[in-house]
Order: sequence, then C-alpha cells, then structure tokens
Amino acid sequence: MNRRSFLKLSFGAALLLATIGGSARFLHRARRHPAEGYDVLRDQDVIFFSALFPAVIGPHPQFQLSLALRSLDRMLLASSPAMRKEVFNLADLATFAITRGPVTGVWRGWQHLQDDQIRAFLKRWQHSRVGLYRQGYQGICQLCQMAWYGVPQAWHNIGYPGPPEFLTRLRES
Amino acid sequence: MNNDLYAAGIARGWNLVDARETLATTYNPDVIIIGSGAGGATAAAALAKAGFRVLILEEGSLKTANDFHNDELKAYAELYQEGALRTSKDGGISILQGRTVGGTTTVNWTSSFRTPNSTLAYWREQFGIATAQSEHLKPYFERVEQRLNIERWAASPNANNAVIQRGCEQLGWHWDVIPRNVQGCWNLGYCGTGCPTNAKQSMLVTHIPEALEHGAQLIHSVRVQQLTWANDQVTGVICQAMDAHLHHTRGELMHLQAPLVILAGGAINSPGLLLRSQTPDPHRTTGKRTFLHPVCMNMAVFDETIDGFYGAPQSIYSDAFNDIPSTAEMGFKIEVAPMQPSIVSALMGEFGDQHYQRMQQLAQSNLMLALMRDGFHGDDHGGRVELRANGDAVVDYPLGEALWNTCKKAFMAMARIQFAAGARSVMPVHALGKACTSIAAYQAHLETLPMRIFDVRLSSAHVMGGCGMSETPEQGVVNLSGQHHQLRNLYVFDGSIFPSSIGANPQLSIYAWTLKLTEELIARLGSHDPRAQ
Ligand SMILES: Cc1cc2nc3c(=O)[nH]c(=O)nc-3n(C[C@H](O)[C@H](O)[C@H](O)COP(=O)(O)OP(=O)(O)OC[C@H]3O[C@@H](n4cnc5c(N)ncnc54)[C@H](O)[C@@H]3O)c2cc1C
Ligand code: SF4
Repeated sequence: MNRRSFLKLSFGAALLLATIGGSARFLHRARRHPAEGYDVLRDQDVIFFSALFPAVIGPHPQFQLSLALRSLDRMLLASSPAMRKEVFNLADLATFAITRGPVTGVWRGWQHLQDDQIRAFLKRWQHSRVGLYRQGYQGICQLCQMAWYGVPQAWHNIGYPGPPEFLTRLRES
Repeated sequence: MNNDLYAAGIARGWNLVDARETLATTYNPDVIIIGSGAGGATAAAALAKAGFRVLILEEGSLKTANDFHNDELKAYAELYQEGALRTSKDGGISILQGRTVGGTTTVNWTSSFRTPNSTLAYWREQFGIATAQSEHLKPYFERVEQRLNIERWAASPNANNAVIQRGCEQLGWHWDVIPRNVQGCWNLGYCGTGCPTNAKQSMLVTHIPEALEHGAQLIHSVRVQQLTWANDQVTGVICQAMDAHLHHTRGELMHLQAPLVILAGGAINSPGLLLRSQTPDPHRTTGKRTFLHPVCMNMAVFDETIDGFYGAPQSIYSDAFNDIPSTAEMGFKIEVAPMQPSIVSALMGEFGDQHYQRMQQLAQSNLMLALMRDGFHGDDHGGRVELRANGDAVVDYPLGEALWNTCKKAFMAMARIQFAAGARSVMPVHALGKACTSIAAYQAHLETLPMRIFDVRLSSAHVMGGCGMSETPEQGVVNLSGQHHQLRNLYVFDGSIFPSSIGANPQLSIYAWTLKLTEELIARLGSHDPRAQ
C-alpha cells in the first residue's frame, strides 16, 4: 500500500481495523502483562515506544531511551484504566502482525525500521483525514514529549535551569 | 518556612485519618462532606465553626508544602485526576483537575475573579436564580477576599504576563492586573505543582486547617463509591480506601452514615457520583450542561528572554473579547500559562528536529491562552457526564461550529497582542501550526489550518456545571439553596452547581457561593442538630 492509498483509507476501514485490533488484543493474550522492569508497559508497548521515542524527541544530545521509557511507564501508572486501555489499543493495533501494515503503513517489525521510515509513519498519521490516526499521532507525541521533558536530564539543553536551587537548600536546612 | 502546618496541627490533636492505614471510624458526624476542594473545604470550615460534627472524605492523599518539590511529573502523578491525563470522552479536550487534600486549589494558579455581572444576569434571566445579584453576593466575596488575602498582584508581572500588558497597551485594548490569593508569595512560578512555601492561600492551608481546628475529621485516600438513599433522603455513603499509590480502590467497602450529606467532588466527579448512585433524576438533568472554558493557545517567540517557567504564573489578563456575543460564538478571556517544560513540550507541536528546535526556544517563548466562556447561548449545552463501563465518570463534550469559529477569532486576537508586544514569530498551537513572522502571514496560515478535533490542541483547567442550580427541577439538579431537587438532605456545594461557565477563572465564585449557601443552610438548621431538620 503506498502513501496515497493509505491516506484514502476510509473511516469505515479504520473502524474495521480497530475491530481487528480488538481481536488482536485477544490473540495477544500471552503478552498482556507488564514487561520485565515496568509497571504498565507490556512487551509490545516497549517495542513500539522504543521505535518511536527517538523519532519524536529528535536530536536531543542527552536523550536516554531507558529513562524516557521509565518516565512514560510512571505517567501511565498514575493515569486511569481508560487512558491505559487507549494506549494499549494503539500499541496492539500498531504492533500486531495482521493490522500493523494496513493501519500504520509499516510492513516490517518496528524493531527493524530506519528513522526515516518512522518519521514517514508519524507524518502519515499527522496529516490523515481519519480522526483515529490523528488522535494516535497526538497521543504518541504528547506522551513521549511529556515523559522525556519531565526528567531533569532533558532540561539543561533547552535552557531550563530547573526549580530554583535555594528552595532545595532551604528545605534541607 | 517549613514549620509544617499539618505536623503542628496533628500534634495539637487534629483528627486526620489515612484510609490506607485504617477506615475504622467511631466519629459520629452530623454531616459528611465529599471532597476537600474549593467547595468542600469552605463548607467544612463554616459548619465546623458553627459547631457541627463534620466528616470530610477525600480521594486524594495529604500532601503538604514539604512534599512539593516543583517536580512536574511527580505532581501530575500524585496531585491530579487521572495523573493529569484526563480528557473528554472523544479525546478532543485535555482536562486538568486536582485530586489531593485541598482539591484543585492545591495546584491552581491563584487567579481570583468575582463572578462577572454578565454571568449573573444570564443566570437570573435563564435559570430564575434571583439571588444572582452582585449586591447580594458582595459581602461573601469581600469576606473570602479578606480571608484568602486576595489582592491585585503588586509586584511586576513576569515577562510572560507582561506580553499581554505591552501588546494590549500598544493596541489600545483592555488589560488589567489579576488579583491573587497569596500571602508572602516568593514569585516562584510553581503554583501548578503545589506551593512549596505555603504562600498560596489554597484550601490546604486555610479552610481545611480551620475545619480541623474546630474538630472536623478528615479521612483522605478514600473514594466515595456511592450514596445510599431511600425515598427523598440520603442515608449515607459507601466508600473504599485507595491503594498505596492511589491507583485503585482496594479492601472492604465501608458504609458511613450521617443525617446530612454535602457533595463537593467537583464537576465531572460530583454528577458522576450521583449517576453511579442512581439517585432520582426525573428530568434527566444530572451531568448535563457541563462546561469547560475550552482553551486554545498561541506560542510566540521573542528575541529577549521570557523565562515563563518562573514568576507568578498569571498576573495580567485581557477582557477585550470577553463579553457575551449576540451570535452563537463565545466570548473569551485572554491570559498566559506557566511554562514548565513537560507540559509545554506537549504543546510545541511537530516532532523530531522541529520539536527539538522549538523546545530550545523555551526560555524565549510566550504561551498565551484564550478561555472560551461556554454555555451562554441557547444552543450551547456544553458537555454531558456519563459513566464508563467501570463506573468512572467522563464528560462527553461535542465540538461544534461555534467553538471552531471562536477559536479562529481567539487565535487572531492573541497573535495581534503577541506581535504588538514585539514577538519575532507566532504559532497557533495546532498539530499543523507553523511559526509566522508577521500578522499577515499568520492570518494566511490560519486560513489553511483545519479547525477540527485533535488538530486544534484544546485543553481545560476549569470544569463547571453538571449539577446546575435552577428554580425548577426541569432545568437543573439543585435548587437555589444548593439542595438536591429530589433528595432533601443532600446538598451540592462545588463548581458543578453553576448553570453555565463563569466567564472568568472560577475559584472565587465557588468560595463565595459555597460560603453563602452554607451559612444559609446553617441558619435554616438553626441548631447543631441537623436531625432536627
Ligand atoms: C492547573 C490548574 C490551574 C487553575 N488555576 C486557577 C486559577 O488561577 N484561578 C481559578 O479561579 N481557578 C483555577 N483553576 C480551577 C479551580 O481551582 C477549580 O475550578 C476549583 O478548585 C474547583 O473547585 P471544586 O470545589 O468544584 O472542586 P475541586 O477543588 O476539584 O475539589 C474536588 C475534590 O473532591 C475530591 N473527590 C472527587 N470525587 C470524590 C469521591 N468520589 N470521593 C472522595 N473524594 C472525591 C477530588 O479528589 C478533589 O480533591 C485551576 C485549575 C487547574 C487544574
Ligand atoms: S508563585 Fe507564589 S504562590 Fe505560586 S508556588 Fe510560588 S510562592 Fe507559591
């Protein structure tokens, strides 16, 4: 499927795929538990977000995937069942072999993609006429961005000195 | 600064219970108050001072100045509903609400406005609320302003706020200084993650301590699952403790009883609890007319340093566009938002190189917002609270033409202010937004942008309505006393009783209306024994 035909994917088709996504989750049963070292993220979420994180964050010299993933995990842990379900649905839809190609335009496994292929995927969803995809684009970007820029390692490079130091000192005194 | 208010209070005998340790209570309350935010705490203080035995139940935990480390992600996880990731049902609007002792007031940005006269007039005319008169409300506003030290911000605004002042001055548009509920504010800028100095006069450091000082009991980390009721009376509440990190409820259900119940869980949660309890609702009004002050935003970049992450978050506003228009479009109030990196990163738009470049300009950026005043037109019913399959409340808020047209107008108005203030570039906060270097380029760019769900990044920090006040039961959920139209000993005292949005940041409206309604209730009860009602 080329980019054009992907963009033409009708809303009906998107819904159909969402339904297949539902059965994908069913088939995914073996992988519905949190991955080793995480409270929320499952294996397929880790694969999905590991591929996306570097593309979303861009050339930040201090970027550390492990920190970013753990930060995202903590955010999702504090969110709600409804929010977690949305993220799981998205990751299932995008990683399950049958739905991955038609939904994301990504036909090979996420682990094997080049940066420009991931960027192309994000662009497709960003510009899609299908609300479901635009929502996915927004969700992916916002979660990754909030998770990374919430950790102190991210701050120096963007000119944020962090909370005033004297506060910390006062507290300790 | 770290003489911990609560440690000292506990030492003096404050009755504070962490439900994660025990839910057993022998306290025999006259009144149960659900929620410890703007409405709940204000009602609790007034009732406790009048001699009532008050029991406050709060789902969030007790976090105080010593716990507030200006750490965004920690604060979002610990102090906000759904870890600050709450949205409207279709995901179109991000919704920020607090969940901690003190409710949303513990994390709010301290702007304090009286209910606008145009709003009061609308309530009188459309909902028969004869008491919506500024003269009638004035003494309550004055007392709250005095109690919470609400005064126009006297220091100079930070550079982020000064953009509104400079731009509006240049354009000849209205602007003014924002009154804030602070005492000895250090001008730090971290109000949204909990004030580390106790300067913010939130419920956490004012009405809650006052209630505790007068013998109230506060049980925190406990969620009220349902109200129990029979005929035209509530009989009590069924509640359950939260787990260690407040992620889920766990353990035994507990039935607590009282002759009077005040619901103050805030909009969305209060009507949600009524729906979960299947309280009588003959006119299907519960949860309807929920309003959000939907917000759209503009990001500008300046040559000079703005450092919008420091300094009092909101100190200047403009009401140049905040009248109620005669058309279906909405008026809007213009303010700025504090600019800590995690939350702002989600608004910069794009990804990869472009996003990173924009983030590197964080310290030169200015984030302006327009609060749209929803609910002031016959066709604008706002959103409607419903329950998810697991019983959680969610608001279904349809996004219509009037909202998109208002967004366009607000985008343009904000861009004019930002350029007039000297912005190098201005960008609408939109999935396809680009930085433009002139107002003409901005206008042309705006024309090309689809005004539709997910593209326009809408958010809300002001949730109102859903248990609206009305003269008649057909039009709302509570009467002009805040009393449930069908359940005689159930009152709702929080932001959910407003029949439209406020048209200004809502906290002071909630304090003043709650104070008035609580004192009227006390006067009616006439004794310390609500059983004699
Ligand atoms: C980031 C942010 C900034 C803001 N800035 C401003 C500002 O500058 N000025 C302004 O006027 N307003 C501001 N607001 C809004 C304002 O703070 C709120 O509108 C106001 O606090 C709402 O008061 P309330 O009593 O309705 O509910 P809340 O203050 O939200 O309190 C409700 C409490 O009830 C608890 N609760 C809910 N359901 C249950 C249950 N079932 N069992 C037990 N407990 C329950 C909740 O956990 C919560 O603590 C801001 C809001 C946010 C999120
Ligand atoms: S700006 Fe003032 S009120 Fe806000 S957190 Fe800082 S000291 Fe507290």
